[in-house]
Amino acid sequence: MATAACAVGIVKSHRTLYVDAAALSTLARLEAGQRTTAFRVTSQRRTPVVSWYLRLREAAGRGPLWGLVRIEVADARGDTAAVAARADTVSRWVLAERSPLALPDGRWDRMAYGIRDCETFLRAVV
Amino acid sequence: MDGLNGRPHPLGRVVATERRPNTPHEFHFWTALDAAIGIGTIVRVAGTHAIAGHVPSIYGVVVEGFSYSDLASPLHDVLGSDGIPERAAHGPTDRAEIRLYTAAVLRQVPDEPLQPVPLGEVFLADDADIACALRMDGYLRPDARTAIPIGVYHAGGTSSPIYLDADFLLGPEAAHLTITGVSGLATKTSAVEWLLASIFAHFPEKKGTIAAVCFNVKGPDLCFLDQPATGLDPADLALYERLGVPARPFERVQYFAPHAPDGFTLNTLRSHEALAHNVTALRWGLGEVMEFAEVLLNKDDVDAKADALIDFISHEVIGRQFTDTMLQRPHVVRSFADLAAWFQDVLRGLEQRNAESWRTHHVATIRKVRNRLTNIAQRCAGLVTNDGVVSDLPWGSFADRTVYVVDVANLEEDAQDLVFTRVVPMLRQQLERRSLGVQHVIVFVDELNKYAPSDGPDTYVRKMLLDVAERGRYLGLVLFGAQQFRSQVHRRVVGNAGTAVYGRMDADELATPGYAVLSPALRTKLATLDRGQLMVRHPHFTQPVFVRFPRPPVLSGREGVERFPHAEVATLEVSVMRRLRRLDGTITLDWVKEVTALAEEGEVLRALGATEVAGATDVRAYFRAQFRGIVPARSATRPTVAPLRLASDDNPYDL
Repeated sequence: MATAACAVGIVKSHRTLYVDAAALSTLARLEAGQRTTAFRVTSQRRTPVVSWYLRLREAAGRGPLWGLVRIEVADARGDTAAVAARADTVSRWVLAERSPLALPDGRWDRMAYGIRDCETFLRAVV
Repeated sequence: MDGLNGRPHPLGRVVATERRPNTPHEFHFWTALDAAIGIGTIVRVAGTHAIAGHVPSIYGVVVEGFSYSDLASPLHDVLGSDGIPERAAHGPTDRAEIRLYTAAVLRQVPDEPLQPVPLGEVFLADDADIACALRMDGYLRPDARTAIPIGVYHAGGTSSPIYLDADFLLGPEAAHLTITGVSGLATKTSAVEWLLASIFAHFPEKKGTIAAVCFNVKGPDLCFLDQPATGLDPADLALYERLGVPARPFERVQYFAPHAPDGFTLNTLRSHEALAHNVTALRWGLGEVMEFAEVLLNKDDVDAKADALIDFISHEVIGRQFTDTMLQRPHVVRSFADLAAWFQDVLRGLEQRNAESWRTHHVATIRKVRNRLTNIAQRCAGLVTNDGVVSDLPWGSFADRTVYVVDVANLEEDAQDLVFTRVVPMLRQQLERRSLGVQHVIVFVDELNKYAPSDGPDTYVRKMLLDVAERGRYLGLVLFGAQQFRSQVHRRVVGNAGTAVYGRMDADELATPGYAVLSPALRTKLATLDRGQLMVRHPHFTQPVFVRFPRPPVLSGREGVERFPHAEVATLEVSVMRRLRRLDGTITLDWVKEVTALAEEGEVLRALGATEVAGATDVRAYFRAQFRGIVPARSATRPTVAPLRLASDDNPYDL
């Protein structure tokens, strides 16, 4: 799955923040529609992927992780420009999923409605 | 719609939750968003488990519909779209939406045991399902068919005829029909005209003969029942074809209208010469009115003493030779004029004897009753005549599949009451004696709000309508009533009506308690019904059913008065000519003028009435014979008589 070009992963819960101390403030100040630079997540336990943070909703007056998702796509091993273009394209897709709102889900600030719909379906059938 | 292997596609599926369980009388089901279903749609639920060897089928009609999404608050949708509606439509994912319907059970097959509706598949009902659901299968059997089409049920491509059971519409099991709807949408009168056409086409032969007596109480509504409708569109014609009713006006219609106060112009909007052939004057004399005179007398005014005198006059005076030592001459009272002469003789005798009472009746009572009775002819001028010439409905010779229209639209209220109160009881009497000529009569009365109100004084008309509603069905006397506000019609009149039909309703009326049994969705649908749509309640239908009916096959009143405008007021001679021409086409205006030249207006009218009633073969001779003989003028000649004596020329005094 992690190598599939058509698969996009969205991480809503941030147990691990993939930033150093210097970049943390940049991440906290991201405004709605802004993303971080893309970086490669590598680990022995998993397939390497390209990832970046994206702010879906304005976090003013809320916590720094409000509306913040991390996106993972397959690592195509392309040049930097290609990776950035890919990140922009996928970010636009994800931003488009802000509507309709996933309320009343408690994670609605990060939750795409389609995901919630899918979860509802799975709960009904499983 | 058939699916794989010829099996129809299910339209939805029954659903039940703890908060909203199904019962034996109501169930819930969901459908796809594009399912052809709505309020009033009839569905069938296929049972899932056999019970006592039978897999049940449950039929229901949709009475409520719900649509909702997973939103907890509308605010969330607003926030998600930043308050911009257009943006909501641009979302890449559609919000989940559900269509949930509530249906009232029409029938469960088998009937026992009656269990809650199972979680089965829901199908759109087809023709056979609808016949079964509405229990029409019992009276659609070829060997026992008593079905009267009332319209077509439409839903999701299904188009099924809906039938009423003649035994429950026209007696003897149940009877009567009321139709309610707002004015001005041509629903009430149109529906009754259509239904009469349907009844005449489908009334089972084995049930005998049937006629209709319609009271035209306003405008030209029922004045053109024998004229074809203009512009029935293909959809209407298709409905006629589907329901097996000929799209033709009524073949046999007879109109009855009283005269205007002038005594010779018919007081009806059907006055065009081209339509005069089946319009007959409604003219009553003393004998017809006396039995129902109490209708015209103020009840508070006529006490027991006056009542006793009226009773005495009815039984001892009218229609027989009456002699009394106090009276100057024997009296035979056959008309109001005769009655006035009788009263005059009685009062003269009392004055001469200086007596205060006669045959136990006090002189004051006699004077009072004289005043009340002798002015009836003035109060109902045109309907009640002073002379004894009577023209009436064809009592005893009513014909099968004939409509008799009594036009009382232009009559004063008193006279209208008299017409209702005499015609309907006469129908009842004759049906009781089996002497009317037909075995069933439908009486159509519009504006029941006015004639049988739920409140107000207890009038004779209301009593009469109550009597018909409560006892008519045993006799074959069926009331079709129309009103704008059913809630304001006497509850025993509407309660006795086996069939109730509703057109578009007023929202205020729907808010009254009588409509609480209908779901909010049904009430809303009733308030927005299109022209030509009806909601029908019938003893066989456990829930109301919506049908569409075609425009009636007759010319509407509005178009009728345009095509056949009201005739200008004619002179007495022209009016006489027109009426005599119906008996003899050779009558000319000059001939009428010649015959009536020297006669008083009253004499002419009396002669005309007598000629019409007599139906003589030689109309000219009969009409002429009604006038006093006129002695031809002769020049007088002075008789010459010889003088007894002649005076001398020089002395004239010498005689």
